[in-house]
Amino acid sequence: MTAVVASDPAVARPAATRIATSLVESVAGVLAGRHDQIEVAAACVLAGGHLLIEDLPGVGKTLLAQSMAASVGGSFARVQGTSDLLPADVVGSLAPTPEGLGLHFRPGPVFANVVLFDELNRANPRTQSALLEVMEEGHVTVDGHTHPVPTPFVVVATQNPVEMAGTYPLAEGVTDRFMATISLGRTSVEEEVDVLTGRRGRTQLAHVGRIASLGELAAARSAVQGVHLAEPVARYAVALLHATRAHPRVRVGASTRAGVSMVALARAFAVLSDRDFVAPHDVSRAAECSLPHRVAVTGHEHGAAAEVVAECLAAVPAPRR
Amino acid sequence: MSRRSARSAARSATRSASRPAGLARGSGALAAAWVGGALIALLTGATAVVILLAVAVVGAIAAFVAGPLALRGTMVRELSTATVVTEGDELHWTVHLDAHIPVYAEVRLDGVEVAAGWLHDGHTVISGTAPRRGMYGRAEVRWRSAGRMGLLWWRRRLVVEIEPLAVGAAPASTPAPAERAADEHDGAADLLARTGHDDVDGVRQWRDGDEVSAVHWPSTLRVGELVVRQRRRDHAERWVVVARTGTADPDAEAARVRRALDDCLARRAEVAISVDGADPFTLATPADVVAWTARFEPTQARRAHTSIWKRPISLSEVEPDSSLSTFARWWVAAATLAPLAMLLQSLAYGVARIAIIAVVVLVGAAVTARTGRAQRPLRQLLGLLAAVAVAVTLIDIGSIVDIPSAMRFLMPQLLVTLWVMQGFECVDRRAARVSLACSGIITAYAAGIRVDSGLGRWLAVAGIGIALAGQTITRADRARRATLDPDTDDTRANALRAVVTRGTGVLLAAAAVVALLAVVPVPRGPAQLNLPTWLQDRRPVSGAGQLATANGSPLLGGPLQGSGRRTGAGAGGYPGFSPSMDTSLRGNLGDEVVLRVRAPAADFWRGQTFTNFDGRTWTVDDEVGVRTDGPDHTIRPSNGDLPDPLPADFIQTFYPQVDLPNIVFAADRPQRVLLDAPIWQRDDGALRAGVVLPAGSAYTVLSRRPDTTPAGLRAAGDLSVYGSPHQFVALPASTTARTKALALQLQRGTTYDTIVAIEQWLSTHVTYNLDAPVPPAGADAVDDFLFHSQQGFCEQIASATAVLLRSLGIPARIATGYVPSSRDSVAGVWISRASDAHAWVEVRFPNYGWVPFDPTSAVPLAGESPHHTIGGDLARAIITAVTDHIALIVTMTFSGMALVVIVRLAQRWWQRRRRGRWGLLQDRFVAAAVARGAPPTAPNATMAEVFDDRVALDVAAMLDECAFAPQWHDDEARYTTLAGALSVLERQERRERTVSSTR
Repeated sequence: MTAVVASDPAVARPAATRIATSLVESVAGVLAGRHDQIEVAAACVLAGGHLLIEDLPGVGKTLLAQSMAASVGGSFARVQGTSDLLPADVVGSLAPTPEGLGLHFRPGPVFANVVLFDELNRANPRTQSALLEVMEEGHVTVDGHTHPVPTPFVVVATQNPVEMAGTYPLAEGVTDRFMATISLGRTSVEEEVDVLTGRRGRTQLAHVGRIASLGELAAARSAVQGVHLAEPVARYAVALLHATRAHPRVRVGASTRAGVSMVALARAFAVLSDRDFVAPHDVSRAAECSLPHRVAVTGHEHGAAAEVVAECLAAVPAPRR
Repeated sequence: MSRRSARSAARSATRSASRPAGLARGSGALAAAWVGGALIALLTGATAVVILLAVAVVGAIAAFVAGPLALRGTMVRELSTATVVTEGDELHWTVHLDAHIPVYAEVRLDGVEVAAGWLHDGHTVISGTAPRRGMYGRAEVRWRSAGRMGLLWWRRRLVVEIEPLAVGAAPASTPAPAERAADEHDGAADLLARTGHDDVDGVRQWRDGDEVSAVHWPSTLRVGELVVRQRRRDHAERWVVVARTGTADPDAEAARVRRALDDCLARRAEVAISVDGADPFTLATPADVVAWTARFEPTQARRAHTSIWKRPISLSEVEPDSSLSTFARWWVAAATLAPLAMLLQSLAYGVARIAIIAVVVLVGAAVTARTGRAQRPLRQLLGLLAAVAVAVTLIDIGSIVDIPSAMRFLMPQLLVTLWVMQGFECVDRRAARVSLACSGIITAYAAGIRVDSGLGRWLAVAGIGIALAGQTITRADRARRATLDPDTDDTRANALRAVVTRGTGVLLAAAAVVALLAVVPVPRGPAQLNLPTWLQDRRPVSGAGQLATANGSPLLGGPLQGSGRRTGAGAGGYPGFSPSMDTSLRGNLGDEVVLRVRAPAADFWRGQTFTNFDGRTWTVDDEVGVRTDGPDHTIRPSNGDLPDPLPADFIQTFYPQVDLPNIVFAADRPQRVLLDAPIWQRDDGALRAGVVLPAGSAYTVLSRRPDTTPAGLRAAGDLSVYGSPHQFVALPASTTARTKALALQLQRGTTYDTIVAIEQWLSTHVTYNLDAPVPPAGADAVDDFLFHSQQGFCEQIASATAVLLRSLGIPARIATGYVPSSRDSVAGVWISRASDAHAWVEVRFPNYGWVPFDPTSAVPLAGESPHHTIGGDLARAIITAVTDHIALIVTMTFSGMALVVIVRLAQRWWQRRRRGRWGLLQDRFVAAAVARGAPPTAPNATMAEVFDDRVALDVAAMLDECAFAPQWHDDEARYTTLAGALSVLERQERRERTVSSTR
């Protein structure tokens, strides 16, 4: 059944849209407000990318990840980043078999469909880099043996941008693996009241059911990859990448991988908007959340990269008919 | 380091008005060119040069006000930068000015420029280096512009409060002393740190303060220097850096402290600072360290005081850019071509030579445009070669004999040579403006020596070329702006507005030029040291002082070639220029221009006088008079003239346009004639040269006109009471009684009134007719004219007047010459055509000498000649041209408008063809959204957000679909829906605009 649906784009794309919207609705039922950010998170899941949430503690980062895991219906694991966390603690390690004869691989927490890595920048660089392989390749290599992680596989990492003491700023190699960065921000008064009275928030987490089977989700992912990208829109995306590279305040501009993941995200946005093709504003919206953590600007002011991307968006004319 | 946006608090107290900042590079050359032009105007007395000068003055005034106009209403909206930086680091400023033109902005802290750059569309990031160590709470923004003219720069400044900017010291190479503090936290941690019982990460180099027990001996032995174990918990170290105040150089102390603090932080230790032994306080982050060094013991910048005499002269630093674009270089070269052709053509150089020089000029432009500043020696060599080539082409030293010929030939030739050479060095804006200044000088020079009718057109071409080239020189600054402008209706409307604004500006400037010139009198003539005189070629006449035709053969009397009554004799073929003049012959004179005379006012250009009359023919005697050899001839008074000098000099320069006989035309009463040939001065006042006067020659006459006025003439009373020499009152024997009776009938109390009465009688009784019948043989011509035919032309009218006056005993004679019939108000010359050959009466008044009278021509008495101004003449000429060609102008205007409409329709058609109907809908959507304030580069869906309308989002989605969907077909129903929705949006937009404009 699943295979049949995936092979026919005319059926697969609306199905993907259905899955995407129900994912958004399901998460929105738990997390108060922040509709745009939830859409980005959902698009990220559909596009097969990983999500980095930058915000203060207590705004619902964990809740977002948990509700997404519950909606997807897969397994959920959580890692708390600390400076003494070792790579083996994350990906797994070899342990003696119960029989005591030789070693067997004991999977780490990354062997889950949704992995929440809390305070990623508190983990030391060695552990951060241990994530690289699993995020990019979808498998873990320990002692020469490769162990694939389950699909879908989504890493939701968080970092606190304000308290910098005792942290290890994310290496560019690591940030480049995240498809999008979002910042949840504060909720409105009404939504906060909803949270306090229990109409929304963690209490609702128990009511979240899976919205689709893992097979349907995989089919939706392949439908997202099949969304049409017109030549002018592709050129627009490339022009945006070039604009970040030519900007005077940028040390290193966005990579080609940044472009690939930006377009993947844009495809997911198109599916969310119930369209068969990528429109320029899908790309510009994707650029806003998928480029800032990938350009290195001079100076370290918080938000400078986002400003640079906004300036690039303003400078590059969007394609039209 | 955090970056916060500091919105400027623009306070009116610190706002400054626009004030001049300085001149652009090369403006001095333009000013010098103006002075040069003024000298040329003085030297040549040419009206055209004065017009050029006035245009330049109006241009300078426009350049003066362009800056303030451009800066009007500009204001700093935003100024922000980082809050913590290190001395000497790169620092970026986000500047947002309310400016619609590119302005050059600079940010100054404490009087020191820290960043500067061009602001296109008012908003940009400009970069510079961080200033010296210290805290900065306010910044000064200076921004300047020279408007479109780009010559005079104006500046505004504003002091803006900014988010405090801490500029920390850069780390020194040697650190300040630091000591490892006893850890005050807890003993266990301390013990752990000292003994190293925590996780070992690796090894690192030895640093001061490390425990000996931490040394990792195996690595030390291998490396050869002290290596210690690196511990995970190194940040538990605590160091106290000691800073001292009151040192000789607090900046150096801050730098050393920074170094020490940075070193400690680099090894993840906790750091604290103790100032002069006070309680230490902790600094957590590198930003804190930088900020601390910024605050530490502020110092004042020592500004070296330089004597005003030793300061470099920097008039030009105000213009931020000295580069010359290739486009501007070619414009400058193009602007030199018209002046070049204009000058060389007037010096009688052929097309071939002008073309050679033009090619050399263009080669210079090509060389400089291609190589720019590089390859200077090559350019100089080429320039020298070009100059030599031009000199060989132009200069003929043999023709230079005296000052006027040097002024006429050598000076412009040298000027052109140097100017061509300069073209090979024209690589920056200064040189380009110098080149334009040279073009201006050359234009003025040409305008000074040219008198032809094409001068106005040449001047217009040269002036427009120079003005446009001047603008393109500064336009490079604005080139980048155009790349961001999308091709929308909005920019087209702006373009239309710009055209209207500029057109109005040009009309205003033209009006200002005329108004300015309205107070400038017509120049009195060339300066006396440069009275123009030259002979195009020297053709001596045979005989001494005899009249000769233009080809040099002597005139023996009677009409010239052909004895037919009306047969044409061409220029100079006027019977009045022969020894005897039959009053009934005139000849068919052409319409060709024979003389151009540069003179401040119109007068009779007299060639001959006749005293002897036999009833039909006036004759001159064979006496040739006194010969002077020249070239500067002093003219003695003629028989009947007053010997004493008369009031004012009246300088005329005669430019024969066709070959003329050897008659020297001059206004009454010549004092000096400059002509490089012998002159015979006849007793009757006529001057005859020893050469014929070929076309292209020039000679100058200084006359002193008697200040004749009606009142002065009346004061002389009745001249018939004085005894006059017989020859001036002799009547031909054929004079009839009724002629004498008519004279008596017209006699009045004073001779002047008698003359006026005769003129009135003639004007009422006689018809001017060039085809008047010939009097019968043997009849008295005057009697026949007065009483029988009553038709005639000027010779008959003048003869009749003379006979009537003579019969009353009043001394009278006939003069022939040319009258000026029109004026070229640009070149400032009076034009006489062949048909303007004329005869008039001269009456001898004892208090004035010979005074001309003429009932048929409009030349006024010298004392009454109107006071001309250049502007008045120009305005009259323009009005005449407009009224003369009103039908043409109206037709042109309408056909121009029709052309515009046709072009618009064609454009729309082409647009439709190119963009398709969906493309046009897309354009309409963008135009409506941009009008409501959407960013022009945004995608459709983003633009739709400015409409507050769900429909807009649908429109955007449909437009996106038609552009980017994989399968899409043109569907009539969808098109109609979309067009309808778009119309709704456009109506909404228009309504809002009218509401906001009426508010």
